[in-house]
Amino acid sequence: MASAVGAVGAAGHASTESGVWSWITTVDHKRIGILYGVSAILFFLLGGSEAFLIRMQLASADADLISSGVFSQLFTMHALTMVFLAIMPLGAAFFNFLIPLQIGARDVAFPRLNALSYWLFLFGAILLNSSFVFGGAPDAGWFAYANLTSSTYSPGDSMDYFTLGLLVLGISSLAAALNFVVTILNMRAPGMTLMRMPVFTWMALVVSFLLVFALPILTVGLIELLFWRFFDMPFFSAEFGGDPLLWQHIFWLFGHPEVYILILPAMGIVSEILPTFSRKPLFGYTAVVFAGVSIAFLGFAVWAHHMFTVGLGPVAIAAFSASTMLIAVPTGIKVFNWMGTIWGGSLDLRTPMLFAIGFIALFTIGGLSGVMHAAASSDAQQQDTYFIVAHIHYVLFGGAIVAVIGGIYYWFPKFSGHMYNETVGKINFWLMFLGMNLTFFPMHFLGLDGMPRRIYTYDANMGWDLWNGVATMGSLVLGLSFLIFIYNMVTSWLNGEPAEADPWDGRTLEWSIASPPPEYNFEEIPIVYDRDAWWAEKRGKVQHGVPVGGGSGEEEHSIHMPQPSYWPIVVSIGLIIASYGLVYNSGNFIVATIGLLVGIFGVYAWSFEPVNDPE
Amino acid sequence: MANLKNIRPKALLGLLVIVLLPILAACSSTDNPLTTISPKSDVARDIHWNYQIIFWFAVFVFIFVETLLLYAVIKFRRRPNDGIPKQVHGNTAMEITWTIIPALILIAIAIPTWITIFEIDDVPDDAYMIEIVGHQWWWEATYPDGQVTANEIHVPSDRPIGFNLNTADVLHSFWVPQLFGKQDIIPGRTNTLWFTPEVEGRFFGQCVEFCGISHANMRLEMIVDSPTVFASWLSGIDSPAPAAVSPAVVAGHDLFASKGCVACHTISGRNDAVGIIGPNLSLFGERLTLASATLDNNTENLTAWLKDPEDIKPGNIMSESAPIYTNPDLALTNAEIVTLVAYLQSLK
Amino acid sequence: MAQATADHGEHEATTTGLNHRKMLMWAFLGSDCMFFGSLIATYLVYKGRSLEGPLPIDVFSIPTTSVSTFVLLMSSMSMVLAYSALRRNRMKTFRVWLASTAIMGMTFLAFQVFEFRVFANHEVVVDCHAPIGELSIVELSVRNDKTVGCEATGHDEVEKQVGLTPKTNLFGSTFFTLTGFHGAHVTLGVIWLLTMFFLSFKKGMVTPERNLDLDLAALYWHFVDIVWIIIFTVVYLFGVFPGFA
Repeated sequence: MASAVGAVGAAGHASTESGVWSWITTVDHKRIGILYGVSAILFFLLGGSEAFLIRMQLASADADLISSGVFSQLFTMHALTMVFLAIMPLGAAFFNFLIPLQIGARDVAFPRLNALSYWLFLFGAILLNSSFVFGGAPDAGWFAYANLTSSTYSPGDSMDYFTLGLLVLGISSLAAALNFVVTILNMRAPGMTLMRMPVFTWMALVVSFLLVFALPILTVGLIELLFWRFFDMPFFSAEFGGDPLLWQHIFWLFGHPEVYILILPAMGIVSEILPTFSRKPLFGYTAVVFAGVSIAFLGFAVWAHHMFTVGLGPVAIAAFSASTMLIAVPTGIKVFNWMGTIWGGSLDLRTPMLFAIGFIALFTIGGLSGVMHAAASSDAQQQDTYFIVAHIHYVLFGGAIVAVIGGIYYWFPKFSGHMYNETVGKINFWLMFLGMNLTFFPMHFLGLDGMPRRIYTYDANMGWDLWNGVATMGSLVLGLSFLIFIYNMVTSWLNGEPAEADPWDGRTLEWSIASPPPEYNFEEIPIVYDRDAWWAEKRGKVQHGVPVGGGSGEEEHSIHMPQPSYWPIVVSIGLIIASYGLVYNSGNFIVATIGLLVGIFGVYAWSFEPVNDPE
Repeated sequence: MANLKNIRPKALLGLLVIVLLPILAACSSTDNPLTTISPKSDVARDIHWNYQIIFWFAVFVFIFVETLLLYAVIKFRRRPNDGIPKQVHGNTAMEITWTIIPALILIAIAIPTWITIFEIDDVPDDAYMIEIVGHQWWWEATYPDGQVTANEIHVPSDRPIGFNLNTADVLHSFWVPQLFGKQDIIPGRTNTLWFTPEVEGRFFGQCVEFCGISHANMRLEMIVDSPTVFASWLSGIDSPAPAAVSPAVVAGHDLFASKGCVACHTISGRNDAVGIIGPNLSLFGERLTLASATLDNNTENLTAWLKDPEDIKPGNIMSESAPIYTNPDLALTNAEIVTLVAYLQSLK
Repeated sequence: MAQATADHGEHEATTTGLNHRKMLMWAFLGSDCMFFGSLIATYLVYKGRSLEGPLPIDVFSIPTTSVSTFVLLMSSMSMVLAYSALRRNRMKTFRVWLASTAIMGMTFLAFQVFEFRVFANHEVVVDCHAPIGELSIVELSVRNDKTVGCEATGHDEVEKQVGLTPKTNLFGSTFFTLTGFHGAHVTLGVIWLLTMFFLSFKKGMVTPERNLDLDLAALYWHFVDIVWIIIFTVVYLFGVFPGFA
């Protein structure tokens, strides 16, 4: 069955046309996934370049490469870019491409909404980054603590770009999350119960719920910040009795779940790679799933650990210390279950597997340093130092990015229909592993030596030169490993060997269809009898799916695919016009209103657009 | 174990990391001015005790997990002729084990943490209270009897020292790592902090909450003096400035008024210099550093600072709004700077 | 199948049996709960922290707002009736109830606009002989006003306009943001209902078979209604009753 999927004549709507217009109007989840992935990698390179400039400036004491104003923009935009424009959309890329394939569906539940998510993401990202050109990017840190963000201390438009950019990106993520919630809950193939879902899909479901509940909190915070700046509504003004700490509470109530929004997809990816290349099922599937769910719940109960030094009082601090430490338990469960998965397996140490194992090794370090500053009293010496910078990079780079790169290698044959170059892939891994540790491990020492975050210069007598120099060298290695990655991706996509449907002897349904999958994904919707449905099917429990429509016998035996639509991009353009109109409102909101009207018109036209091709 | 030829570089590198980690942990120097691991007060020592417990637990778990991982990767790597391994789906006893053991470790960490949190919380009643105000980008300290100084904060070594922390503008964070853990300063509230010195000496500190473009240049020094030295320093602030001696000092004294410096700076003993926008410059000649502890206080640095403060501390209020720096007609000449330097250095 | 728009979904087999669009609406409303939850939380955190008036006790008129609350509640009922009429294919009745739902929604909005205007032009009248302890912050400030206050004028009764705007104080900011966003939700709902009302005159657009379209609008409408009941209780009632205020 693996390669048996040929051209299905009845699938008359399966359009495989190319050209720019077909990409702009596409509603195919696989194409949107690729759009997400390619855009996110480009933004990743941008954020990486920002980081590289930061490292160059900090390479030695009293450096004069970058002015402090530009430095502030760079570290703010580096964080915003990596979090909102790289890691989150990379997650979205995987969700888009894989979830329908893993659950045996033809597309997501709302294909046009999916397109809207992508275009809003892209335009929001451009909006945010265009601030570099129009008078300066946001420079108050990605956490944007009030009252540095007030119109007094941040005059100009930079913080308005921050607020509106994140609002637009928030709408995009919310739409995507709602879409995936419905897709995962509602479009599973017959027989795929929740506890038969691939772990990656499970984590996608958890992340989607996290987004659904966490994003509105940020939205409210951003709206309050916006009103404060635009209309002098004194939300965070101490002079009016307001409390700048309220912003911190709101931001981290979103921000901590956000951390798990970034890392859970990575955990899902690793939970797919390890079993495949160990040829064993995931050890303790139930435990891994519930650990993920409980991490998500705990994620809403630990936000104040970002605020241990703001003066919350000992009782609150002790409570949040404890709840934060508690997260180490489900995280530990995951790590040990991954270990159990490879234990006794037959490990094929190909590139994706190396990345997955590298993930465990590096994430463990990030997890342990996390426990170190979960202890609030100890954190009093670590908060806002490079120790924290080391921690977040072990979690988000060593964790999220390493796993995501591994995932790209793992599913590359499925995405592209070509095999990547294994040797180059391994070089890529080793350089990245080396560069990552060279860059970020010394930051632990810098932190213990008291180097604060977000300083653009330091004195030679501080004793920070050595490790800063090493970190900067490491970032060079890291940069090189990325160029190699890009090289491998591009050359393999163009000239790589054609990929079989199931090159890794995979376990989940996406490996049961051709590489790349046809537009309609499954010729027949599969029937699922077990976890690791495809592995079970290959290993004897052979079952054949029921052709679509065969169940009810009412529908015709053709495969209906959603039609392309340009309304999503129209709505997105409307919202972006509105955002620019708000940034440059100068008292009147004409442009903003026009943009909003374009958006509303788009929504109306969308609602009345025929979903299916009338035949 | 497999023969050496089959061991992948990863194994070697991983081993290297494992062996090196505890050694590397010693890579942080206790001599650095901002070191967090060389406590010199009771509070810092409490925090360090807490930190060390967690650190060694972390090292233990790190070695355990990474060794296990490395061992598994080497031992179970695929060999030719490998069949399909046994399909194990899980093991409840093991799940329970690796839930409970980490939980126990966490309890072992949580207890000393809680103890420390409550131990370092309350400012002792007999503490010598100093009011700290964070400004963009310098520190102001006001002593119980009203004396004011900036950036170089002297404290007596014989009793607990407490701070009330406030800000004049945005968020800051007050931190002298060898003496105490950091405490953020939030507009609209007064946070507190305390410690009891154990040794005399100079201790470096820095603002650790991003507070604008010169955040990196908002540093401070805390000088723990013996009670007698401290008392004489404090009374020195109250005593009038010395009678002007050299002509340069006299000229500088007058320039300090005519160039408008007095609008923002206070110098004790001068009735005309009572500004409070900028740092109090009483006893400036005695200070070891200038520009909120970014430069050593010597003639060369002071000249550079007066010539172009923007270059040393971007965005500071003086270079943004003082007429001598914003109006080219009023700019200080080199000769004027020389006299101002002489005057400022005479403030002892 | 061929006749356009989203009816496709209603016949689709789904894993849970719940229609895609309905599940989407539920998930969205879950998200919206967090949105209003955060706004209400902000309001509560800042309750009683405004440094100057007017405060809830000064401006709220519970009888007026009770009326508009009642109207909104009734609109939920007519929404139910409209839905049930549509399902039974009684198009005329359906239209009557749908239109009255929309009209009641607009009535609520009119009340809100009226209320906002009254708050913005709030007049404070102070009896100069009243004991000082019984005066609210804003009354005290008017009493002691340097130009129109009791001592300045020597009158027995003084008055001054002390409007409540979003800029006035924390109460103004949080109150107008919260109720403003609720009003925006109601406005969206009214537009939605009116759209369906006019579509119902077009053949085949609003039919009993396609009742899901109305079902979704109704779900949204009831949600907005429930949010208002919470706002009315937490903001208005708790704002004026002693012990809560």
